[in-house]
Amino acid sequence: MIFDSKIIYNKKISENFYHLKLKIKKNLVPLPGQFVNILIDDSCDIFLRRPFSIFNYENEKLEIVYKVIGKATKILSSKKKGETINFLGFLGNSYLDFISNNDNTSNDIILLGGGTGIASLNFLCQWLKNKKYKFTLLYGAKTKKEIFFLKNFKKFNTIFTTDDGSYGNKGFITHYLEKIVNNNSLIFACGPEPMLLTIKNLELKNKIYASFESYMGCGFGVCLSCVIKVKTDNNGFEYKRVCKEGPVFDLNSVILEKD
Amino acid sequence: MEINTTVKIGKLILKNPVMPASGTFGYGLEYKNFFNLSELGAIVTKGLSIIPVKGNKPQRLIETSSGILNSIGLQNIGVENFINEKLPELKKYKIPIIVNIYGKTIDEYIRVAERLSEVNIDAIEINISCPNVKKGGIQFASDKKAIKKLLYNIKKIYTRTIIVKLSPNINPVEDIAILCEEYGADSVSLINTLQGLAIDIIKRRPVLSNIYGGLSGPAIKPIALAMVHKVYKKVKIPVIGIGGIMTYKDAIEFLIAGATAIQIGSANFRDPLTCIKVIDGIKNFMKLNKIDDINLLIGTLNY
Repeated sequence: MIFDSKIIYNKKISENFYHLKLKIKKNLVPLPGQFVNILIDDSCDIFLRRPFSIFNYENEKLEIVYKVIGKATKILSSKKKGETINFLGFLGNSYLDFISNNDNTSNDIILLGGGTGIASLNFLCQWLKNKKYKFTLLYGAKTKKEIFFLKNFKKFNTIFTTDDGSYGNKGFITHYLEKIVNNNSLIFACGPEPMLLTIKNLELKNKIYASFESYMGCGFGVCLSCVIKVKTDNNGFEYKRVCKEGPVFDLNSVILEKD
Repeated sequence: MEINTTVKIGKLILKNPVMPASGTFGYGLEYKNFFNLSELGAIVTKGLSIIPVKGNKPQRLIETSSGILNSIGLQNIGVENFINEKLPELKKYKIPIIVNIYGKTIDEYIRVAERLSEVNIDAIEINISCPNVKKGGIQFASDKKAIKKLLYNIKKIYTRTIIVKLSPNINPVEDIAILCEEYGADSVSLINTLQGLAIDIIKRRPVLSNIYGGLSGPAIKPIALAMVHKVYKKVKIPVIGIGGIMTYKDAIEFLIAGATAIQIGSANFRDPLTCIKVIDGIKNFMKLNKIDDINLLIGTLNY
């Protein structure tokens, strides 16, 4: 589905991070883990759309949190209240595809968000909270400056870590995962590939689902750019589309670059 | 004002000259939630081979100035899976289906064409020019004997419309077009992507795992237009123009240069409604300029 949505606000929240809020008029509701593919520029200078995970959705308002890292995100950050953003949505599968109804009787859902990966997990946290699931969030960032919406995340049962110890615990969230995990824990992760690899290498017996990033051409399954290797039964692999079969995959089924 | 937008490509009758380019439209059905596929002049599928192909290792695609560079490696589900899983639904749209085909050997091309003949596919577009696979591809596109043998054999088993998709990486492209006409192709489509390279300056490595990729998008439009015009002047069979079409204006440039129909490629990724917008744009342009038959535009470049 193609959306043309008005910007409610697009504001800087910390050094390179922005918070974009859009008014959604269509009768469609996104699920945690899904993403949108935004048309950045009317000229062909930025030819492809750019995918962003959904930070939150409430009362027909869609929120995205993004980091300015290049030309496209710089242009996005210059857009003002009242301007219209064209995007494709709501794309991909959802974390919810892997949560069953009886999971809310246990208190063993663990979420790991590294860096900007926290954005898509926030939406999942909101959902879990609304449905009265119990969960623990592990939120890791490089420094205190890169932790955004601190107050928001303090509302949840959150363990913070920073690489330099400038806020919360010093070190990586994967270290804390080992401390709190038990046999029944259901784990969701979103973050850079080295983080996912570290989680994988812990060789936990738990079900672990991770949201992946990949270079996308279209975002709706036709260009076959964003594929990742997923194991098949016969010890082989097949390429699956992050935009279509994903972005959330069973972590242990994915063959990572440095595996 | 009544306007006629019908064009003929071989035995195919297209109600308008607009179709997607192979590789940018999946198997067609991926776009059914964006618009009514019946509006298209025809559907062109992703390139199909006799057995499924995994494709190249990522990274497979990178944005470049006004375009994209790709080396997907012809990943596809294979002709049998297409026939069983995609074709029944695709046929419901009642528009011509053009299946793009390729093989690593002449025999593989023939086997795919044979299967498509059995299920009454309206037309095949033979890819002799994908630069992104190590075997086949470029060797085929430049090997006149191989093209001759390929067309001769395919025509024996496939009697509907045969389109040959030409590579811009072989010069001069009109020589290959003349050859295709001589050996019985009903049409030629051009251009496929131009070979290109993108480099990561920190790692000093190619961005794409396949090293080279195919460049497409608005960046290649003037090159495509020139090649379409040159080929149009040399052959009598209809030419299908491809290369960087984003708007109806681009499409009309191709028609004036000599294309009977056009294909829209990379633009579909940016705006999935491009084909529909181009169809509407062409119709409006014709009305505004009092052109009642689209065929009156084709090959009318004044110089």
